[in-house]
Amino acid sequence: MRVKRLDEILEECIAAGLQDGRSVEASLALHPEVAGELEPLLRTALSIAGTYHSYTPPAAVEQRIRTRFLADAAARRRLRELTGDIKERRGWLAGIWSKPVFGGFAAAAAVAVVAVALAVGSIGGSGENAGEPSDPAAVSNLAAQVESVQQKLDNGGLIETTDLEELSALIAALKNSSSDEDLQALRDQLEGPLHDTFVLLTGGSDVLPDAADNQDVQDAIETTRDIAGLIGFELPDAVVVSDRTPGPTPAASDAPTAAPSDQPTAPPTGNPTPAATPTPAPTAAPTPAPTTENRQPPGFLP
Amino acid sequence: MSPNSDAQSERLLVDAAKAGDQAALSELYQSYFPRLYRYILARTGNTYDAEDLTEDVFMRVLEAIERFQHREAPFSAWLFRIAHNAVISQRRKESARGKSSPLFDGLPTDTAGPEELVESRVVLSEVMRAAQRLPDAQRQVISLRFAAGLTVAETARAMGKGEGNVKVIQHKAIAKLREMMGQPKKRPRVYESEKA
Repeated sequence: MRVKRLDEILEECIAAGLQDGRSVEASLALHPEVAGELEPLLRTALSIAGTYHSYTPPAAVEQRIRTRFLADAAARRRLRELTGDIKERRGWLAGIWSKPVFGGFAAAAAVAVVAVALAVGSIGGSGENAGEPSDPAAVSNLAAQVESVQQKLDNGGLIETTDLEELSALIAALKNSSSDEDLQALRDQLEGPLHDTFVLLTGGSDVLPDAADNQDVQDAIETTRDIAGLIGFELPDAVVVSDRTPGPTPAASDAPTAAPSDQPTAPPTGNPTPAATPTPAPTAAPTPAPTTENRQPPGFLP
Repeated sequence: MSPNSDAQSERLLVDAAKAGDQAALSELYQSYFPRLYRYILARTGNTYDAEDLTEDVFMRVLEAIERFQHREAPFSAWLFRIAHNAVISQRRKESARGKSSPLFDGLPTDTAGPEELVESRVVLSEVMRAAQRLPDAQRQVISLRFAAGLTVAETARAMGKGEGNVKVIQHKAIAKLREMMGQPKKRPRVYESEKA
């Protein structure tokens, strides 16, 4: 078939021209039987390739993206080292920590997300058993949101404060339409992971040493508090103060512009308000100075 | 360096990058940035989208490189598949918003080509304008082969097609581009003088 022959010859000549610098004339000499058809096609192809290749992307763009790319890679590596340490100590978190999530906040949020996923199953089940199923739409919405967050984790994506906030809103909706048994099931499922998430976020461990200075983390703390409040679970007080900031110093969340500009990898939350909610800042409450005991609950990170 | 040793050294580089080696990541970036940028520019037709999407694709690479498997596809095919998906996703978003980025914004008005191509030099915007009118598969082949510099084999893997099919698409695309852009100025046909 002549057409097929020609496209094969054309490709052979293009490849030779691009890779080995073979001239059009040399190619035509090698294929005199199709030279008439080959020549214009080959000249067009090489001309197009030359035109594209002679275009150099702007150096400033190349540099800007390189900087972000390498900074992001370094942050991921650091997270992997940190979470690798935790992974050894917390067997039940192994599946989560091994996900290629990014950012300390993302890792911590993942704990809550998985907990909520468990809770969804629990609610559906107990509701049916009790003969009073929860609002199917609310359960479905929550399940969809959890699935979306899980997919982000599976794809190595970011879990942002807004994800937690959506979960919070959905749990609130669910709370209004659920039976007492459902709520108890939700509480049972979420209590432990929420507590651990909170401790991680507030710097009660060595996982997030910069938590007090990171606005994303501070926002996540507030949202975690909201979720806990919705299911009637009391989170510990005064764990926000890290070892680096002893005494009753207010948390970094008081600073309205705390988003660090030197962290190119911090995902935009798209939500500037959580820290401004009426929820009192943990460190602003007249609670006793934190001790090792109340910063690290029994059984967590000795 | 032979293609085989090139492939082998890239394989080692990718393995090091998967392990988080900064130098390897930097080298991969260096090697692929211009090709990726040109590919996306060829697909989208404007430098604003090219900048945004190139950055986006490199971030996606970081997220996914740990899961990359050599046996499934060469790194280049994998990378440009991510880029293709990013372009498609961007288009969907734009059409959902009912807007589209202006074509050929920010492009240079002329482009210097290699010496041997001076006579048939065409302006980048002219090539891209013509390429935008090609069917999608043809435009993709042209972008991968000539803007990104992939081989036919790599192009086939990136597109999930057979090499024979890619050659056919490429042939048709070049014929159409020639029609749209007009015939480049011919140089003396050496083989004729040789025959004479």
